[in-house]
Amino acid sequence: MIELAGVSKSYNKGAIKAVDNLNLSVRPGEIFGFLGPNGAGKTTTIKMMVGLLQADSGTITINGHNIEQEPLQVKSSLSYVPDNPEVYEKLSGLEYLNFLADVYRVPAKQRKERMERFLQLFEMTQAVGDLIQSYSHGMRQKIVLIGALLHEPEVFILDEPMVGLDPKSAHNLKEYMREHCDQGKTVFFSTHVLEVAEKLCDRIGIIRRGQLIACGTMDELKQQAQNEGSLEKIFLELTEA
Amino acid sequence: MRLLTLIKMQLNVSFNWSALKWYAKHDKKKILGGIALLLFILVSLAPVYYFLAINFLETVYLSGYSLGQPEFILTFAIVAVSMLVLFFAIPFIMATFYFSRDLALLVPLPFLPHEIIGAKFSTVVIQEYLTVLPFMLPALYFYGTGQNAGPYFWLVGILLTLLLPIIPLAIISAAILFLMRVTNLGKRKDLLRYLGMMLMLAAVLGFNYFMTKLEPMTQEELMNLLFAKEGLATLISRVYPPALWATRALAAEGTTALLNLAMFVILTSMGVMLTLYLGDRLFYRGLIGGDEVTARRDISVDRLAKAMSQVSSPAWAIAKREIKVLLRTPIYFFNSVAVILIMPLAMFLPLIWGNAMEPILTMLETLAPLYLNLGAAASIALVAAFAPAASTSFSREGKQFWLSQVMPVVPQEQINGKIIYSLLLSLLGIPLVFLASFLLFHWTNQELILISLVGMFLTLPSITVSLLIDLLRPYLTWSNPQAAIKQNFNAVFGMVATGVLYYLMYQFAMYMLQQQYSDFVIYSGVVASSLLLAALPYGIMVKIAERRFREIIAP
Repeated sequence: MIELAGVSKSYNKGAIKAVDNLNLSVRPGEIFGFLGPNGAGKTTTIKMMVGLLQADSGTITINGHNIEQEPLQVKSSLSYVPDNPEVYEKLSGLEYLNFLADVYRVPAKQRKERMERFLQLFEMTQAVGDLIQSYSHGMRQKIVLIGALLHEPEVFILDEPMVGLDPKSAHNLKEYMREHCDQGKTVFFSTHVLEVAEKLCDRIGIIRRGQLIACGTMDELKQQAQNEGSLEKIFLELTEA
Repeated sequence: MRLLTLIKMQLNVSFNWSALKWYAKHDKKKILGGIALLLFILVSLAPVYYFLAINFLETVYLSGYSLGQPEFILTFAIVAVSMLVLFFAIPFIMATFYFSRDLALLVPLPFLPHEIIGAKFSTVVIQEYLTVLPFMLPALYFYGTGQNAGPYFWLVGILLTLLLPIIPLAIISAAILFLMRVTNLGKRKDLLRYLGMMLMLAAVLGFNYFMTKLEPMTQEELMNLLFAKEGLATLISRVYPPALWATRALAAEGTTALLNLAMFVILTSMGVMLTLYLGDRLFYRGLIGGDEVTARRDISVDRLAKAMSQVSSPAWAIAKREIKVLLRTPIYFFNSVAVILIMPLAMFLPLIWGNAMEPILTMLETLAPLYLNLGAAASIALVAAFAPAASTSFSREGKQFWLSQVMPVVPQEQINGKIIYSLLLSLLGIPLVFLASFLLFHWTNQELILISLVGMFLTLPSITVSLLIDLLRPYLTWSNPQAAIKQNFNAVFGMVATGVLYYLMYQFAMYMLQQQYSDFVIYSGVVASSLLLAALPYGIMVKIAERRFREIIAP
């Protein structure tokens, strides 16, 4: 589970408030979609959740561990897929996956089983022996996804995961996210693809100028916005208000 | 006009002008910190610069002057600087022309290949002034003030200094444009390119050998040259004839000076034209397809299964990652690995070929074995200290540093991985000791093991202090791998800090030698002091690493 309490982050000595007193709770077994216009604070929030940025104030708790006080426990229990798949280009896909399995201490038997399964799921078995520098954007995204899944994280955090994925891989990822949450685990992802969020997410949060302006199930969002339309209409109404 | 725009943009990107202007406006602290840092580097390097450049060049001037050949200093400086540029520009040109990340942006724009090459060549020339000016300016100063030179000398002196790097850079550019064109084929193009760069380095060394062996002179001929007009200048400029033209352009009078100046300028212009011409003919053909993937290698089920089951500790996994990335990135390989192997060869082979080692060897033979063994061990450490492998270790992660930040491995273990990798790299100095033993010193097996072990311990302080510096201020926002090393002050800081630590150890070793302790005590003392001086930065790193990993913002 994920718990954000009063989290704030500003840049330029406070001139730009990227995240402003954010309170958010994501329960186990839940897929949570995080929406917002460009520059709303989505990536900043995610980076604080995974330990890439320090919050100015507030607390972030992942699986009962505080990111500031117990960073290692937090990192062991989550996986992060960034919006831009920047990985070691001079390693082969296989070397990259083995590296991640080593640092997440995945035993030999499990790593073999999982690698085979996910490589097949994302159709990367043929390419895994090649250097990552030869991969397309989508293939890089897939190798980062596979690497993130190797230790079967309790909390799966993804920033714009569908960008660059082919339709089949995007479908497989969505299936996997559902399967993952059915096991009582948590998925938190940001996206601009509102149809995906509408269909896939149990709950949705909308952030604007660093503040959470709406949060809940689709029905709750419709009530909050007093709009019976699609998520797109609700999103536009809320963010342009 | 378009070329000028492109040059302006390239210079802006290379020197971070826009970023500096932004910081000057919005974050004065950062700019002041940068200036303080620069001053610190200049002050730290000042003593070394004074002794190695100023003092040395003054001696060269006075020697030439006493033989009635004051112009010798000019030829000497021009030859030295040109050779320096020629030797070190190979990876630099390769990285700038073929591996910078802006190429994907530039190639689709409506520029001709020679415009892109012209802009990139200009930025390399300007960056080479950092190598040229520190040696040429003192040479001009000693000659100009010593000979009461007039305004013509100073004007032409500045003009020639600015033109100086162009000819060697044009030679290297032509060779690299040709190399990349002919190797842009087949599955093994990376390997071919490594071999090509090695061949180029070998060619520079071979050229050096050829020149030192050129026309062996009798004692009488040598004496004649020493006392003839321009004798020394003629002798030394055999390695690089344009140096004599530049010297005459500065030191001769009337039409001779102007004629030689014209010759130098014409040759320089021809160098530029050749680069642009080859740029148009070869650049795209060497570049386009450089990243192409060869047909997928089907990985066998057995191999896949075996590879998937290989488990390593996190520290060892990190060390392996560092080594693989280093070996597979040509720029890192040349700056960190090739330098360890080639630099000592480049320094000593000419001495051996020129029979200049005889007196040095005779002097060394009078020393006790203890001194020689310690010296050899220190040379392993010194050679490793020149390779920026540890001092740019965090920086080289660049945009991938996020992985180090999110992985559940305590920073201490990540640091251990980097120490293992740096130590493995420093092992490369050991074969050179074996080579020196085979060629010159004929050490026993026991001595060779002892030298190698002490050498390994001696590299530890350099590794830990360099890693500490890079952890404190990693340079992660580079746009091409060359910048991660060459535009990274941490490499200089690492060397300066290592120099300070080694100086302390040298003093300690000298003290023990003066006290005439037994060999065992002295070796143990050296090893113990290495461990102590390595433990200090390591301890600081471990203490601050967790905080630093949280503070650093990955780009």
